[in-house]
Amino acid sequence: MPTNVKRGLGIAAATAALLLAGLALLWHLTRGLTSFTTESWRRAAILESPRALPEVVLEDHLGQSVALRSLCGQVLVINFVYTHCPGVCSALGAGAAQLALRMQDVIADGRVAVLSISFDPQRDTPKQLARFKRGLDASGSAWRVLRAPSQADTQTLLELMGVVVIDDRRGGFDHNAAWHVVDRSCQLRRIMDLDDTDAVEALVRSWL
Amino acid sequence: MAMLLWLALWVPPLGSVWQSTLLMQMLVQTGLLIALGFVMGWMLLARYGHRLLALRVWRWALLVVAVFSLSIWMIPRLADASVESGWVLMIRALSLTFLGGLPLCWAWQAMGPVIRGVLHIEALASLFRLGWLYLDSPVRLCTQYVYSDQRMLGLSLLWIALVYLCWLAAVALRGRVLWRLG
Repeated sequence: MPTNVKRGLGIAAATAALLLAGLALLWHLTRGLTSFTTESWRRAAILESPRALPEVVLEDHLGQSVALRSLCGQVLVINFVYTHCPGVCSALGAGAAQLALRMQDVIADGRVAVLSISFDPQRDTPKQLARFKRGLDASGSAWRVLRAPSQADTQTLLELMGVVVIDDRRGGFDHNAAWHVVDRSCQLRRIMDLDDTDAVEALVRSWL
Repeated sequence: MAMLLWLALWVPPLGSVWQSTLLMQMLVQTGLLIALGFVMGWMLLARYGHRLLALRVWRWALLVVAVFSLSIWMIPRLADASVESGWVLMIRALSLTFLGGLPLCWAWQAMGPVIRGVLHIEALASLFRLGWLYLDSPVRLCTQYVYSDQRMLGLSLLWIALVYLCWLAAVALRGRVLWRLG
């Protein structure tokens, strides 16, 4: 075979190899072209490898201390809020209250708990949490609003759940809000859209 | 000088300024890193052109490397990762400049007008696609940036695409006019 043809084939082969390598890298970085955002990546990661809840101590809207892992044995539905949130967190809280109302039968017998955890423990004291709950939960459901008094515990919880909180440049915060569904062995197994309460309820009931 | 400029685009503390908003990161920082690579490629060709002539046969390989390097850093998740990790930011800066801008320059020099035209069209289409995605998406695509940043980026990309389209049209029309006059 002439040298220039051999050279041409070599260059073509190298180019094809680079193309394949590029495609493989793109495939790997997007979990097979399914996860282009951080949010979709974290949801897929949790689905693949559930994570055990950390040992953190929470304080609810009544001022009672609760070790998070003491709730193991129940299915937990968790979202993250902060009470000074101008709009979205009210919807998050109201959604949690409504979900708790829909599942009051399984909450009452201790099989499920619906929790909203504040990521702003400095400002969200138990009194503030209680005010937040009262304002959004007229029916007095079993929805609990909590905070981790320790900033370090708050950070541990946020990191484990993959929740990213940023300054919204308007005096508040922005974060990747979702339902975090924890099974009875205290493993975070699913992260679901906030407006998917039907699916959340169906999933929780299927795990009971 | 070029290396100093390159370092100033990502090394902290200046690096965090370039990443303060999504528009700054995706347009300004990314654009400058790629442009710097392109300019470095140009300068090397000007200085060592005779030695780099052999690169002409590798133009398709260079184009593949450039296209993948540039495309990968358009992924929103990696925009977040480069804010969260200094290592990812460094890899981003290295790859956008030396695996993106620089090989793009060398490939561009070796390509004919037809391929250049195709690349222009593809770049234009990408700007419109990304612009529309960032403007129209109802959810935040990057967790490290607020929603308004995302919409601002989308709007900016669409405006840039519009200007680019006008420029391409002007170039094409000018070519036609010169042909007729000739």
